[in-house]
Amino acid sequence: MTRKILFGLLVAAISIPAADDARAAKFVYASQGDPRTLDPHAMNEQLTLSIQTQIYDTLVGRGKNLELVPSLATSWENTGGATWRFTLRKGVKFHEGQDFTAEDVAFSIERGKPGSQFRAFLAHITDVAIIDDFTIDVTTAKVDPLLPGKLSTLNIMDRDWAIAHDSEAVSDIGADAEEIYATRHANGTGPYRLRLREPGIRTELVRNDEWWGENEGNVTEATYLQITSAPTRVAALLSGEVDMIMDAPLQDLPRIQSSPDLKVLQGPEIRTLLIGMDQHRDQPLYAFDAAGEPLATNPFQDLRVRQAIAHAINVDALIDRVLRGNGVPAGIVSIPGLNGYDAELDRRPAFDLDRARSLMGEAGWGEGFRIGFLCPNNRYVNDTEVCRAIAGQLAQIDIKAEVDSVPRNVYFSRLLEIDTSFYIIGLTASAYDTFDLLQSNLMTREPPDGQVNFGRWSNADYDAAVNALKSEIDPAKRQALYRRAITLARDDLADLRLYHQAINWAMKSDIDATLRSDNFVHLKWITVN
Amino acid sequence: MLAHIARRLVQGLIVMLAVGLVSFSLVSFVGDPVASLLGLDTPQEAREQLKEELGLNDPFPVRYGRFLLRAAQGDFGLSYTSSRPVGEVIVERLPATVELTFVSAVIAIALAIPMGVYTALHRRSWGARALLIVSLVGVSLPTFVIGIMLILVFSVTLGWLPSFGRGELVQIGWWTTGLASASGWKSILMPAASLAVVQMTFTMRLVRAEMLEVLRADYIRFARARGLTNRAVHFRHALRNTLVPVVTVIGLQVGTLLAFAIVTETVFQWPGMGLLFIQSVSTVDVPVMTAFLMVVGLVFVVVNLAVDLLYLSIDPRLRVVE
Repeated sequence: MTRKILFGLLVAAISIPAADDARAAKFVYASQGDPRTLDPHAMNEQLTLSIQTQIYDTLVGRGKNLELVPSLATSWENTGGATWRFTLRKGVKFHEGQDFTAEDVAFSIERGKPGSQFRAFLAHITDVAIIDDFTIDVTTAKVDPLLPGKLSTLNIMDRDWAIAHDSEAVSDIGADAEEIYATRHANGTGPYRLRLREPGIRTELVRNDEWWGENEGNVTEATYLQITSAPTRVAALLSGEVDMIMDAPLQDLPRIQSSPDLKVLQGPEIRTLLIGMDQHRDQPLYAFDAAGEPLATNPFQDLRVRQAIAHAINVDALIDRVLRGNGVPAGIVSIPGLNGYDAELDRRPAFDLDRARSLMGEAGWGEGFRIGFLCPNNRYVNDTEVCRAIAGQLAQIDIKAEVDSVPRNVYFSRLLEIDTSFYIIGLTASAYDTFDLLQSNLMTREPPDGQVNFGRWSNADYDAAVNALKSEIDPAKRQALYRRAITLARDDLADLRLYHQAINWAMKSDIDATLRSDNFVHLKWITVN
Repeated sequence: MLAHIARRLVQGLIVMLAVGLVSFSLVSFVGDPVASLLGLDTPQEAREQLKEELGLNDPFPVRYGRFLLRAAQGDFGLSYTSSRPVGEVIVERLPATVELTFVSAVIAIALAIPMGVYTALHRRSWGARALLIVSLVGVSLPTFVIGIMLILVFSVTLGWLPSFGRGELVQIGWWTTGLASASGWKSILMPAASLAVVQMTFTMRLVRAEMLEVLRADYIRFARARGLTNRAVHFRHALRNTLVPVVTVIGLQVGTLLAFAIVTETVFQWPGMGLLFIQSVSTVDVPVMTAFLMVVGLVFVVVNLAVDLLYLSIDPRLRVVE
């Protein structure tokens, strides 16, 4: 039945004559993945959200530089203590005609709270009070200075629509429950409406002319395609079948740039690649001495060894050779563009082999050791090549890193079981604040604190600073706390920050797009000339 | 006769059980579905809860038993990623794969038989040698390389054919077909051709070998002695007699085509079962993976059984003496 409807829509779409509007434009874009669901609260995953964000609006928006901007809420203020008041936009309608009111916001927050992947952002909300149709108070268990930012990830759904279609509860991804209506249908307030959704194949969108905001672009119809194989994706761009690909392979960039009809838009992504070192176990895993015996002590617990490793890795060469220039060196637990980033602090140990060798000698590891190096082979840009290059550099100071290159799914399950003592990982800030990184990357591991601190570095002063950030409202004091935490982690080499990954959007040269560092394609900012 | 069929059915069942066991246990090496479904920043208790819900905490025999019990009723469970019944998801992708294998089999047969006959009749000609060498190259190149080369030539350089997808589709009941529109035909040409190459080479060589054999047979000599034209000898007598084994091999190759289709479908983003399988591997969608492997196993078993039974009816010598 659904297929018939979809097909009917497809036929209708084909038979509608192209609009005469000079600004009208079609836009086809592709990448290797596919959004997993259209249920706006089911998955906190980059690509899934980036498609949903065309259809749904969030309560608080993000501008071109990820700054907070009004969206469905026109303003917000902390009313003292743990309550934030949001004033909502009037006259907004959902795609199917329903009016947007405070009820929908309350519903969306309550819907996302239990069981969803957004609970990290919502679980501490204790009360949502509707003051009137366009005013709403959100109260948290403790003071939360970052609440508006956290709510910038939450799409707003129409309450009546969700109830009418048995979609009140978030669809249980993976569990033994069937999909719900909202998995493949959508009714948002956003700049584009859903026209067709074929999971694993295509998603078609049409412009919502009644959108409350200003659509700066001219895309009237858009199609997102999943094209798994990289050569095919590039070929589809070269042959003009797609207008843009979000993940061009690095080795193809020169070829794309050399074509007069194509261009590459490049920018930093909010994702830092780093090496984690086990500082918790007294005997590290997969570690052996020169004679082949398992190590009796853990070299990573010695700051000098960590420093030696940092001095032995030539990040500039990595970026230059392995990443073909697609990266920015990283030195601290923050990323340019995030709130709390401080360029002054962002320094990493210089490449200095002599210094590295003498530090190894001082630490009593002059003979070096052998260590298994956990590395994914299909998760980050050129990941295995990066790991091999690092292994080559570490061999100079007699650390033989044996690259254990595994597919992403095996890699993540091994990480979660901390079945490694030396690994590479790429981390991002899900609510776009340095605090996210400080909390999840390096706090003493008691999830959600230290959620991805698989090296289990632990420092009481650092924990205290980050804990203070959880409830500090005053911006000046916050900056001081950010600086303190960042400096503590940097000087103790809690982990080894390598570089921020770059985004490369390859597209036809007559397209103007705004590249945002969270790698979200916003159709409202795309103009086809 | 009946006893023989029953025996073959039991054997088929045992094969299916083995396929089930292998696919079910192989799948556990692909990684942890929970790690793939939930982001790294999901709390531990949520992970545990999902693991429990998915029944991943039960011991292997229990999980395998449960899987078999449900599979026997045609229920492969729900896809982890799309939360839809696996059967439904696979059936949705079935038409694409069936059309692809069908068209590529037609291309392979239509080209291979004339080529095989030609190379057999003109053994020493340059044309025959060239065909043999080219076919050797074709069979030694991996399918994905052929696919990418086709894309490079026909999509990127010449711009004649689309590099991915199925083109415009027409819905007939639950079946979707791309063979009813020009864009659908354009889309299927390259994937079908790249998939056909391997089968074409095998078939051509088989036809050639069989033809050479048959051409030496006495009845061919008698046919020539009767003064029949070359044409009648070659096509009415020789070719017909070579076709029995050729048809058998082509039938058996259907399963192989299905297996190779995984690669072709990935290269051309052809939305069939093979692509579905690759997509489910990358998301550790265990129910979809096992169901796909079971379907492929079933196709092999059914085709083999059918061929056996056909043989039995064609050739009385094969009937087992009780």
